[in-house]
Amino acid sequence: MSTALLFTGAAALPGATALAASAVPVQAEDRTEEVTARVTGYVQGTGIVIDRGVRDGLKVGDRVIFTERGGRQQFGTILELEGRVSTIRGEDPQFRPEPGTRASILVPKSRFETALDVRTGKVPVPDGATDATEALLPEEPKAPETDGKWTRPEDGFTMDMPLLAEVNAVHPARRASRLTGRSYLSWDRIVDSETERGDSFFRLGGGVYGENLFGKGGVLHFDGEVNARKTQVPDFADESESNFRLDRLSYTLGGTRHDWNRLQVGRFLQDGMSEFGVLDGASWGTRTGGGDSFGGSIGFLPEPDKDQKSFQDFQVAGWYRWVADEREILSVTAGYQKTWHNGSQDRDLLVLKTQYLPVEGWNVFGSAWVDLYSNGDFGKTSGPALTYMVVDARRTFENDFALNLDYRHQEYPQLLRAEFPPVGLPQIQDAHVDRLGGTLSKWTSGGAAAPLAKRLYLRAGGWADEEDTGGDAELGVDLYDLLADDARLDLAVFSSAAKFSSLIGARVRYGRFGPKRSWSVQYEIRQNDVTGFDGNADNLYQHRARGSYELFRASGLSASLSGELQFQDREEQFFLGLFLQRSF
Amino acid sequence: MFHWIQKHPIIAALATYLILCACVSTSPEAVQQHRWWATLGPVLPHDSFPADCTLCHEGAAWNDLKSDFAFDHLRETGVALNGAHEAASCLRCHNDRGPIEVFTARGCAGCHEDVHLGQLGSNCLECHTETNWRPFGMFELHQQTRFPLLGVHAAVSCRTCHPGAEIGRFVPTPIECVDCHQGDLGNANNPNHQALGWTFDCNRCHQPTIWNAAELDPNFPN
Repeated sequence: MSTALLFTGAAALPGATALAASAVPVQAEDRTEEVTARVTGYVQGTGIVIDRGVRDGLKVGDRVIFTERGGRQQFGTILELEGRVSTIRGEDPQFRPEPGTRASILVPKSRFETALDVRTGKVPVPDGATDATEALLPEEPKAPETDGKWTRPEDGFTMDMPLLAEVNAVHPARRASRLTGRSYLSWDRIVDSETERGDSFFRLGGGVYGENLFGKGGVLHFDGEVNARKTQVPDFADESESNFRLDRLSYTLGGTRHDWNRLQVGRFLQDGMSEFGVLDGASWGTRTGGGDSFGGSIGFLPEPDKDQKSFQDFQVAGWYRWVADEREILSVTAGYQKTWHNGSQDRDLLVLKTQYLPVEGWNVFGSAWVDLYSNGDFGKTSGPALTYMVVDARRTFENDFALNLDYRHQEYPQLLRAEFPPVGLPQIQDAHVDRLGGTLSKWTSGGAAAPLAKRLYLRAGGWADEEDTGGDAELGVDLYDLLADDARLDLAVFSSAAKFSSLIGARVRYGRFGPKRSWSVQYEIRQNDVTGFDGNADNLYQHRARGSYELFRASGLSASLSGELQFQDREEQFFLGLFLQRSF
Repeated sequence: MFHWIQKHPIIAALATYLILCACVSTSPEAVQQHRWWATLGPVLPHDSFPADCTLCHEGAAWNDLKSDFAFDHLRETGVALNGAHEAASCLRCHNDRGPIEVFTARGCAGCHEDVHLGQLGSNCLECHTETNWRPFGMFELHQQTRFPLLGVHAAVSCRTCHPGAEIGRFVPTPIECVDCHQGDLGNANNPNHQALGWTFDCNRCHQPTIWNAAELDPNFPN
């Protein structure tokens, strides 16, 4: 290959800079300089990356010779340049050099005659030309005027520190493409002995995150599932249905420490405010220097069911997240969403949520959904109304006590959108349920007197709706390492006063829960008293026996097999379940 | 406003508590600089790592880890990687989206999408395992609601009552019999339930133990 050929590309490049114009194409080896380089990576969709750039005298259009370990040579052309990095398109599109592959570029010596002036940090500019490199090069700190003495301050380096500790962050666009995710297969079968009814459920699905597939540092996210169901009822025709559900298909750019702006398009769960749901559209968000963040979204809301039909509910939304400090121990987020159903104004939703997450003390999560109703919303009084509220508070005390408290409030919102199964107007108007619950637990480590570690707990809760009140309680103990390592025996008694029944029961479970495999067997009995029914069968004993085996591998393979038998007075149901998952 | 507080004292008390939390959490000395920003290098600061880079990295590709790379996360950091987290690649958690300390503090929601839209609270491990994220214990969990799974209700798929179950949507779920059994009511012709006005209080005659037949209440139709 003659050197004359090496520079024809540069000379012919239409976008050549003024500096390039000053570099005369060279036809003799004694007028060129060889710049050696190493391949640092390959970016899908962009090209080969080497560790030399503008500062080394390279220009767009320069030819690059790669020498592979076996001595074979490949060729490429520089497409993009930065100070110390160049991106090259190989002549052979299949060429994927290993990192570390040698490369060389012959450049005219005249380029080095216009090298950086170390005093000014600039390239001397020929008469009549503009300072082209000024725009290309990041500003460097200027060398201080000294009289030869070392003036740089100590940076805290000591001999026990690695020399390469402070390296540059790799931009996502410079990383190799990567696919991660999972695929799974699930099959469940339920058989009822009395009616000989049988149900089968089959699910095959997966999710994939593709990072930097297009050389821009973005993330492609796909999640989907094929779902099939078959019901067999004697004397009736079998029912079966199957469908494909697309849960996620989106592309995200930014939202990283390199770029605070985050843009996401496609079908995705809204990142800044998941309460606003899955969206077919676009969202944008950014963060401020103090750690606060805000953003907005626009698009259509798929219906929240197995079909996820879209393009009926249009929404616009915005949110702001305030954080108390950089650790984000306390955050408060407020968001507003407005929707239209088939063009008619539907929902004005205000969501407020907060998290308080100190290392010690109470951890609190709270979320409130407030619907803003107008005169046109039948069944609801005009003005704000609390639709949902969730509050969880947890604390672990020094004496190994832990307390969890949770509160839930729920009403039916007045919506045109099919958000939940249809209910009557009285329920829209009046139905609500509040539940306050808590769990107090005490952990006891094994000792000489009582060698088994154990966890004692008491869980209790009460609820109230528009008509009734009720509650539930459970008292239990978990005994660890009983008979074998990783083994656990759980014993519990429980009771509940529910809407249509009350019950009392007991549960025992024993199993081994190791890091690679686990198995357990369980038996539960409960006596149900059906409210409002006075016949002979108002007292119903319900038994459940269950066994399961799970297997995990460090490769990401997970398998689970479970069987369960439930029997009551006159009939039994049998359950069988299989689940396989592979993460990658 | 005062009337609303009287009507919802629990909510008001919780709101007051959150405000108090906010007041005590803004101590300036609590602010701590995270070693995460782009100017500080890799997402995982290497300051304390051994000087021999080839212990972990391939010789010529510093962004790749060696194929036999192993890291005892519990021993080195004090944080155990349970279940599927053990096999996850480092960059799934340690990445450019934010400091790992912040995500860790948020719990599961730091890295995982909340497909339940925040309606089920923040304690994911109450229903999911860390090995394959399959939900478990739904039967037991229903005992903490107004609607324990009685009889054959424990033998149907979740989506029979929760149409959005497969995408993680469980609330609100109506619990009146007719909300789910509207079709059964319409098909009940022997006798014709709707013609006789038998559209409420199904539990006067029907037991939730079998699919079709009714157990006659001895007091019926009194």
